[in-house]
Amino acid sequence: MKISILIPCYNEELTIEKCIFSCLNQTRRADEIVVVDDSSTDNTPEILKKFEKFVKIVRTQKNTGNKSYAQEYGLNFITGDIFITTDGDTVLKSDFVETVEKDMQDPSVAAVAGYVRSLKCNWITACRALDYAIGQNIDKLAQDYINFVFVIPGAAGVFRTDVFKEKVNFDHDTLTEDLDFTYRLHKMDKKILYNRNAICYTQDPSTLKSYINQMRRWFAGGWQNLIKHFISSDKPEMALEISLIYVEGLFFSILLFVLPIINLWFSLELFLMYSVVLIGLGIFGSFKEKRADILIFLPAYVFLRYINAWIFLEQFLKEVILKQKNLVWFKPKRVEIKL
Amino acid sequence: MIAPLPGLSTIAHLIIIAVKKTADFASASGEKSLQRGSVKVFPAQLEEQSRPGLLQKNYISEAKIKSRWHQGRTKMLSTLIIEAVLLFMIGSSYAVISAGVTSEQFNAKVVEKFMVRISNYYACNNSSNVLGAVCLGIKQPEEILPQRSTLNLMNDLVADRN
Repeated sequence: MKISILIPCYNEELTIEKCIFSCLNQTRRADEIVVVDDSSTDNTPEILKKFEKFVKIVRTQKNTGNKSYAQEYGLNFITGDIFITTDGDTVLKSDFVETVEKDMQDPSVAAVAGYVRSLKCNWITACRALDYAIGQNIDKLAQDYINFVFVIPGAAGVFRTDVFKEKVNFDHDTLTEDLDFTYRLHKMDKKILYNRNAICYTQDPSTLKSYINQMRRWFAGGWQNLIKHFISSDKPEMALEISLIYVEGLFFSILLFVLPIINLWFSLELFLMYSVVLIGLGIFGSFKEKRADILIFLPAYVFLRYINAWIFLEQFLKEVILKQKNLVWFKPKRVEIKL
Repeated sequence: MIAPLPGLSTIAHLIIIAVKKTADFASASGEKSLQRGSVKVFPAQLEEQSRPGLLQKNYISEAKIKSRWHQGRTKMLSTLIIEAVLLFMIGSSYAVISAGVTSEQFNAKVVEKFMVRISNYYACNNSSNVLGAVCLGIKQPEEILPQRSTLNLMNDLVADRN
């Protein structure tokens, strides 16, 4: 089985080197690595030149402004039976390719979702690590059990090339391309696996401004995809997941801001109850990710929930009610990867 | 895309995981029993003597099965304990809140019953020690006046006072 890796990048001078090294330094080496330079303006092209002998480097004519365009461009150069998508700020664990190869031996499997870990930086990334721990060890695991993996992460996705090229491909009408192609695979009843042993480490926003911008992109993309694929589906597991994520998200986000106005005492009681749940989840996340900073920054996690809830409502208003479709990609500021 | 708040969806997902893992655990136990059974049917030494080399190729030794079973069981138990602790924490916090919400009603009922009891006690004591003892539950009405219920005794008491 021929395996390719597809890496889109734009101005990734601080991270791209380690990303490519991690792809080259695999226990089962990938047969082909395609790096798409989306017309970077920093030192990225010079860094990429060092790897010319080992990887296929392609460059877009001008900056496309959206990751999905760069991925679509790079897909034309992919010749493998399966391909792995990752990001320029992401590092693959050394057995990533070997792990997913085993999953893809089953011809009925169209895609595999890997496990994303947040690289350690500060309190914001600690909170994101808890998000990932809960999302991937509880939510996504349960989704895998009911055969509805909600999203194949763009940083750790594996796809059967022929299926993807012929039937899926990258669309550019939403801000979260990974959610888009996952929904489309589900609509085609394709089998998606979730493998917690296929691990990658990614760089998450480390400033509040970057965090807010990324959440705006994610939630805007989420609502865009819900509108695009709104499924009057006959798949009950799909309806369950979508209602759980969106309806519950909307309900609790409103509750978070409205309840203190209606009944302050009850909202404090509720907050106390939520704190107990959160401590439990914090211990769980800290144990799973082997990171003490998750527990240390748990109060900050509560603060970020309010930001999340606010942005979720804001994007609901913009994308669903006012129909102001935002397709401007946001790229957070990078820092050097320290493993 | 992540959920804005880990809440009910997380609980729902925990329940799905618990159900699935319990089912897996049950089926794994069944399989292990079957495997152990097969080893007993084909004793290792006998099999090895009759067809040398086949044992290593086709059968797993009983010790290996036991060790694997033990590892699997430990893993499963630790996972179940973590899940149980999490579910307990979530459940207890919900219980605390729901108890808080209904505590006023609960208290009102208890106080009401208590006050009735106290007023009855004083009413009984003022008129008759015997009736007081009945009201306090020290003596049954039948012990004092056969075929007379507490209600009748109370009616008598009220009539006396009037």
